[in-house]
Amino acid sequence: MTARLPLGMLGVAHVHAAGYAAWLRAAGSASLVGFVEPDDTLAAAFARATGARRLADAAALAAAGARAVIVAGDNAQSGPALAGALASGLPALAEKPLGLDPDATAPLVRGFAAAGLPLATAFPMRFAPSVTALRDAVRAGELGEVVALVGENVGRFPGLWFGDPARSGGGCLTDHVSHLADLFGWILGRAPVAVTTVPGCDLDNGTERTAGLVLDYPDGVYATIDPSWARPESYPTWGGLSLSVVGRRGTGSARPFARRVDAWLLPPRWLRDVDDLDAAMLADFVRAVRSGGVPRATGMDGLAALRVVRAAQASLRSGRPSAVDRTGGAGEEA
Amino acid sequence: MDASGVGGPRGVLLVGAGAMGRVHADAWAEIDAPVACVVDPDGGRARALADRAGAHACTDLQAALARHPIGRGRAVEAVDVCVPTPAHVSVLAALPAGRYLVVTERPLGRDPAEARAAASAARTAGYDLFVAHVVRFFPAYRAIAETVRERGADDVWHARLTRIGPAPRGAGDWFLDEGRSGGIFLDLMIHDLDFALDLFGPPGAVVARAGGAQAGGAARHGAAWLSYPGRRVVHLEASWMYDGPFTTAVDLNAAWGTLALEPQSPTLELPAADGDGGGRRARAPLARTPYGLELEAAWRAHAAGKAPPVDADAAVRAVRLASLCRDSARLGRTLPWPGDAP
Repeated sequence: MTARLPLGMLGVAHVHAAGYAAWLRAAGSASLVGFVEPDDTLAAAFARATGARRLADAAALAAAGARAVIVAGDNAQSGPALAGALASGLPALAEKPLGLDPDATAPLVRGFAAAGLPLATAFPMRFAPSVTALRDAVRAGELGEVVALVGENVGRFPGLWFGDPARSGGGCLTDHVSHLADLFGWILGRAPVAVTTVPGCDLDNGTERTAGLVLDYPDGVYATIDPSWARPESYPTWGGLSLSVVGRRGTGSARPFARRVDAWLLPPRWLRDVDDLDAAMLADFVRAVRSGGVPRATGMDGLAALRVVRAAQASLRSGRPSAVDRTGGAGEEA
Repeated sequence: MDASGVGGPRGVLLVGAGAMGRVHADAWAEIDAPVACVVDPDGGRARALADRAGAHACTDLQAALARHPIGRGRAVEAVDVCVPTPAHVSVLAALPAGRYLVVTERPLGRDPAEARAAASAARTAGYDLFVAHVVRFFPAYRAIAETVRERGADDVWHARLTRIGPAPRGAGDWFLDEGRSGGIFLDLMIHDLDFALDLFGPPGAVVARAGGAQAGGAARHGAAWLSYPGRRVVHLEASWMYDGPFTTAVDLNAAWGTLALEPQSPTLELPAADGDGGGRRARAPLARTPYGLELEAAWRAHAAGKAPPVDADAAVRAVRLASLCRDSARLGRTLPWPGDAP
C-alpha cells in the first residue's frame, strides 16, 4: 500500500474547509500535516476540531512535509495563497473562484503550468455521475445540435464572509456563477462570447442577493444561469444545482441533488441521497499529484470560470452585455 | 354564490371547433352550460363537435348569430372564441353590441397592436371580455398566488416558472408558425408571464433568448429573465423541444419561505392501449378541470355585474410583456418595460 500523501491547508475560512479536513483524516490516501489561517479565533477552532498544527505559511507547510495544498480561505486570500504555494513548489487544489481578478490569477495559473505543478480548481460538480453522463450524451451527439443550456445553482445566503465584498469579491455572482459557467464550458467545449446580467435584490449592504445571467456562445447557443441566494432560512437544505441541455434531438437534464429523503423533523429537512462529490474530487487531486497528471478541473478551467464571473459583475454594473475575455480557453480538453 | 343555477349560462355559442374548442366544449358541459351552436368554417369539424355537444352546427358566424340571438338574459348569453390567434380580432369585432359574456383564448393578439384592437372591439361592443389565461385557475397556481398575496409579494426575491413539453399538434401545426401563433413567447411562455404580472406587476426590464427553429419555422425554445431591480428576478423557460410529458413547475422564494410546485405533468399517464404504437393516454387527475373553473369564474363575475377575472387590460399587458421578450430575443438586448403608455 502506498504511503498517505501529506497535504496542508492554506486557509480554512471556506465553508468546505471542514469537509476537506474530515476527508483527509478518514481517507487512506492522504493526511493533513498542518494548516495556515490568518484569523486567530478561526485557527484555534479549526485546530481543536481537527487536531492539526497551525503553521505560518506555505513554506512552513512544505518544511513540515506537505507535498501539496488545499486552498480554502476566503476569495480575497486565494491569489496570495496560490502565489505562496507556487513559490514553495506545492501543487494546489483551490476553492473557486481563483481570486478576485482574472488578470492577477492568469500569471499564477501559467506559473503552475510552467513549473509542472498540478493546479486543480474545486469544481466537485464535474464528479457528479448525472453531470458526466449528460456531458457524455452531448459529446456523443445524442441530443443533436445544442440549442440552449439552462442552469440553476440557487441556495441560501451562506453568511460568514460571503456577503462582505472585501473578502468575497461580490455577492451571489462570485459564489454561484462559476460552477455552472464551468460545467457549461466543459459540456460545450467553448467559452461564452458575452454575458448579460440583470439585477434582482440585494443584501442590506448592497451586495447582490439575486440576479439573472444570460450567456451567449458562438453559433447562437445561449444559456441562463441562476446564481441566486434566494433560499430562505426555512428551506430544508442549503440549496442545490441542476442543469438542462436543450438539443435539437431532445432535452437532457442533470439533477445531482434530486434524490432525497423528506425528513419531517422540527425543523423539517432533506436528507440527501447523493455521492460524496468532494471525496471524488480530492481523490482525483491526490492521483494527479502522485502521477504528475492533470486533474479533472484545472487552474485554466478555474480561470475561465472566473472570467465569466467578472463579465457578469461588469454587466450588472453597466446594465449592458459584457464581453468575456477568452484567452486561455474554457473547456480546454485536459 | 350557491349552486342554484348560477353555474353557467343557459346557452353558449362556441366559435372554433379545433383542439381548444373541444376542450372548452367539455368544460362548458362540466358546469352544465349547454353549447347551443358550434361555428367552424370546416363544416365536418363543426358537425363532429356539435354532435358530441348536442348542439347545432354552423359554418358561418353571422348565420349562427342570426339563428341564436345573443344578449343579456337571452337563451344564449355567452360566446366562446376558440379560433386560432390571428382570427381573434375579426371574430371579436364581428360580435354584436350587448352586455353578454365573451370568452377568448389567449394570447389576445399576436402583438400589442392586435391585442389592443381586440380590447377596443370589446369596449365598443360593450360585452364582458374574459381572456382565458387558464394557468391562473389551476388549483396549485391559485394557491401559490393566494399565499403570495397573503404573505406579501414585496418580499418575494426570486421565482422560476417552467413550462416544457413536446410540440403541440394543432391544425396544420399553426402553433409553430410564428406569424400565426406569435411563437414560443406569445403562445406558451405567456401563461407564466401573465402569472408573474398578476403576482408582481410589470418588471423593470427583460432579457430573453430563443432558438431551436426548424427550417423556415419559429423558435421552439425560449428563456427569459424579468428583472425587478431592488426586488427580485423571475426566470422563465418555455419549450416545445422536450420529449417527455408536458410539464410545468414553480419555484418561488421569499424572505418568508419557499413555494415549490415540483416539476410535474398535470395529467395522469397511462400505458398505451394495445396496438396504439407507443403513444400515451393521459387523463386529468382533477374532478374539476381548470377550464371548467375558469369558465365558471368568468360566468359568475358576469352574472354579478363584476369585471372578468382576467380582463382585456390584463390580457393586453401579457401580450406586451411577451412581445418585449420576443423583441429582446430578436435583438439580443436587455429591454426596459416601456411603462403603461398605450
